[in-house]
Amino acid sequence: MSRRMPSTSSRRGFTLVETGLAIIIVSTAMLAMLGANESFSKQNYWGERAAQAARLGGEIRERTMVLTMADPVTGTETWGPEFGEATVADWDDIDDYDGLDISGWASTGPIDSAGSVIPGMSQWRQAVRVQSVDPTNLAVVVANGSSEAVRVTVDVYWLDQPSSPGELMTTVTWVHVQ
Amino acid sequence: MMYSTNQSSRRGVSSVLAMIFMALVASLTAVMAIVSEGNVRSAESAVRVSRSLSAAESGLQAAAWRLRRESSRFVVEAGSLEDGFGDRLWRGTWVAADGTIQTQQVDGYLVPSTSGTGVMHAIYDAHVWHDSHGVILENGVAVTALIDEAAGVVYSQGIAIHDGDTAPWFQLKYEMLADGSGIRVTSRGMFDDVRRLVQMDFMLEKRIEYAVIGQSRIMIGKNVLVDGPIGALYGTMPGELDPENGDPLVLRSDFYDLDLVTLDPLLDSLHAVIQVGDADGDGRMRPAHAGEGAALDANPALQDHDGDQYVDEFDLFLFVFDVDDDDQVVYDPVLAHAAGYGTLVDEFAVDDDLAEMLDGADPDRNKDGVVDSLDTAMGYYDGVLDARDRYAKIRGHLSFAVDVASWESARSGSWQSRAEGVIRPSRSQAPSTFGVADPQLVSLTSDMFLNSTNWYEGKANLATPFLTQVASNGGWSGEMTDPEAVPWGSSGAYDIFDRPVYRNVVFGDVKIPMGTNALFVDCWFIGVTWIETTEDCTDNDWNYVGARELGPGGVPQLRFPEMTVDINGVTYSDTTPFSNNLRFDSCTFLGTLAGDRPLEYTHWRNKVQLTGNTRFFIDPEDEDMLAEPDAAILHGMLLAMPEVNREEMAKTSMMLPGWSVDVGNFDSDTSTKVKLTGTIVTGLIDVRGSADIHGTLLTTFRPVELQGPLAYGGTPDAFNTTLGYFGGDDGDMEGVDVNDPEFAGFGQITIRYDENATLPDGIPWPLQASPLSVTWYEGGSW
Repeated sequence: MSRRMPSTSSRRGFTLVETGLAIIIVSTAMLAMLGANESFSKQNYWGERAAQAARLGGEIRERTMVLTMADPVTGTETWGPEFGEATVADWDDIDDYDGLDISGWASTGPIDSAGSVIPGMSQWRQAVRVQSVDPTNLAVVVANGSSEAVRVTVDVYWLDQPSSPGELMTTVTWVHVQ
Repeated sequence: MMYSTNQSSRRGVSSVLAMIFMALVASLTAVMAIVSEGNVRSAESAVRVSRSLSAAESGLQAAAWRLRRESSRFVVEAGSLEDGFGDRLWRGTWVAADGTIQTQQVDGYLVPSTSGTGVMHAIYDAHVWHDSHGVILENGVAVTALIDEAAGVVYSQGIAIHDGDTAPWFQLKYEMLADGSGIRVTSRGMFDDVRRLVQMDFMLEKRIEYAVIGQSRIMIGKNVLVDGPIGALYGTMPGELDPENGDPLVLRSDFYDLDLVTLDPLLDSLHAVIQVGDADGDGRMRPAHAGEGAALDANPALQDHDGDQYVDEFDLFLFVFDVDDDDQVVYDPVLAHAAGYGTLVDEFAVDDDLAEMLDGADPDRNKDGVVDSLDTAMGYYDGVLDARDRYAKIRGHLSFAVDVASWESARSGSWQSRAEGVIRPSRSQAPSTFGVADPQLVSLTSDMFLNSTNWYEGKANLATPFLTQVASNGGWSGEMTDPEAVPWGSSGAYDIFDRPVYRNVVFGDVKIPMGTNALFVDCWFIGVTWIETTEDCTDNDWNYVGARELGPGGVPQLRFPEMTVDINGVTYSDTTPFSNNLRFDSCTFLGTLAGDRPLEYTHWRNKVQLTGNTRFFIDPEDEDMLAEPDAAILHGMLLAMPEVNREEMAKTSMMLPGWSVDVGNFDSDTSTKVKLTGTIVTGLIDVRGSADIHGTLLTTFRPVELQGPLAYGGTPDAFNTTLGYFGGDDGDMEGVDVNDPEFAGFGQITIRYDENATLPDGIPWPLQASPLSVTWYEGGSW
């Protein structure tokens, strides 16, 4: 009686090829997926930061929304903080905020609508520009203090390093008319 | 040897496992991709919402500016916008019964052809012809301004808030509220495809937002508190700032003459520091402020004794009179005991009128709409003076037509050398603002009040004649006064009158004939009291013809015996029979005192003096009235009046444009306090002694050298709006000096602006569009 031997050797070889191929495919797929995941993570971070940035822009808007253009204490329309107004807490008219540049790295910001530094946001920066604009054409910038309208622009940045200018996450702009 | 099939199954597992693993990782990656994409979209959406909301908010700001500019071009006579007038004004469909409506020229642009006459048309035209914003395309179509006449709605064009093709933009919709009281603005903010709507209502109203507006110099003396803004128009005409002509405003400290040894020198020091170092012009110094603190450093005697972070006159008062050093000055131990302080010792008895006035200032301290024990617990009328009384001479802001540089240049010093006392403005106002012009500060002339008295004159014309009313009250007894000085009780009298005296007469609506020149004592005037006079009195001599003075032996004699005046071919040697110089002593007015409108300020001839316990009431529920001993009678009489009459008369206690009016006594009897309500219009007004005014004081006379009463010389500083005590030397020469034996005290005067007061019809005044912040709403319809 003869025994019929199974042709295991050829099957074994195929398994090697198959395994190798599978490893290659899986590895390639894994690399691609890891890349994609990294990209998706970045997108997630961006989304989270963009939402945070929108919030930080809104905080400045809320803080300045009710301010007048002339200083309510002195009645003067001096551009920038008036004499004796040393900190944000002292600023009481809209143009006081022109040039405000605060960040978590510098421990000066970011601030909320009450003017308090928001804890746990050390890598954020708020930069404010206030410009006089023509109230009949808000796109036209005029000399500071020469108009009844100002445009406030808040740039919100994400900073990796203290010395870095940061990545501009969003810009919020609005107009204030006296 | 048998080979199982395990090998082949193992081979299969490896493949299947790899596939499963791949599928799992692929699924996770797909989920992550979806989540990640969702996060990005959410963030982008948040950014777009933020930007479109910013644009919408910007739109409301722009609308407020546009409404303020355009609505103030409409000068209306009607006192309120009720009964559909608001809607007619909006649509430009007003009728003759709405009174005269003047539309001022547009400012800063040209309108080649107007779209109509209403406020809505003015707004539309301004957006079309004044604005020059770039064109906004929405779905490829330009967003242009529109006016829907039938619906009464105006749309602005699309307005970008900065340059660039992707800028956020807004569009505005204006529409009249259903009740005609104001305008609803809806702002549509757009960024990408995200739209946010915000809306707010703007009340259209005619309001004079001042406690006092004066054409002449305003003098606010000692023991006077003003709760409301003050507008000073004086100082902008040529020569008005010359030193001999006075200042736009003079404020006299409440705290001088209480302690000459210690307090007065301290006050001098404080005022010297204020003149050089008060950065904000509020009459106080802040130790913690960089500049003001430095100015205080050189004066260690000037300390913040009440702990309110300011050094002001009240701190120095506290320092001098707070004997037990408990940061309180007790002036009424009985009151203090009733307020729960226990037994205290009186620390201040020099001027109880002042103490009572300071303690009673700002009654509703917790701002809950009622004055009760909670306010007493916060310091109101509790028998002690302390920081909780939040002393302020002016509880409001000062608006000056003059610019500060011109004023200070003319004086070679600070304007605050003329203004002593604390100014405590509302939170959003500066204490003092200069160079304020129309429409924030409107120049008043008596011409503006041409039609303001029509309703009152109409009532008086239907009244029973004066003498008939006197006769029905028992008739005139024939009593005459001794020659009486004018102003009454003044050391600087310029004329004397022998007055018929009417006592205890109860008048209904009445017209007092010209030439009456009477003294009314304890009389009641219910309804309209109209004073007749000759309006054409512009001849310079009209004021003086027939004037008398006491000659030798105290016998009256003519001051200018040779003087006559010719008017329209008629020669007058005495103008007193054609004028009216009246004094009301301890009279009760349940209504309005009004009169003909003299075309020239003739204070010797056309004058009204209110002395004694003269009272004005019109509100049946007036708490002060209900505290009167005869409250039940007063209440019943007021309720018996038609409500429509009461409403009309509540608009003004006194409508006497062009007249000289003296209110109060030259004494300090606070039990005889004159009370006025509503919009008080006079040529000039002097308020002395004790008075309480709840409303607005408007004076129309502006003194000009060599004109009118100054035609024969003199300087404008003799004609002031004088409120409260000034000595003979520091006032208008009519006051009694504090060292004079006849000096009877400083009195007590309060002037309280009534923000709810309605103006009488007939006063041409620009409309205001006031934002109602409580109506702000995110959403709305478009």
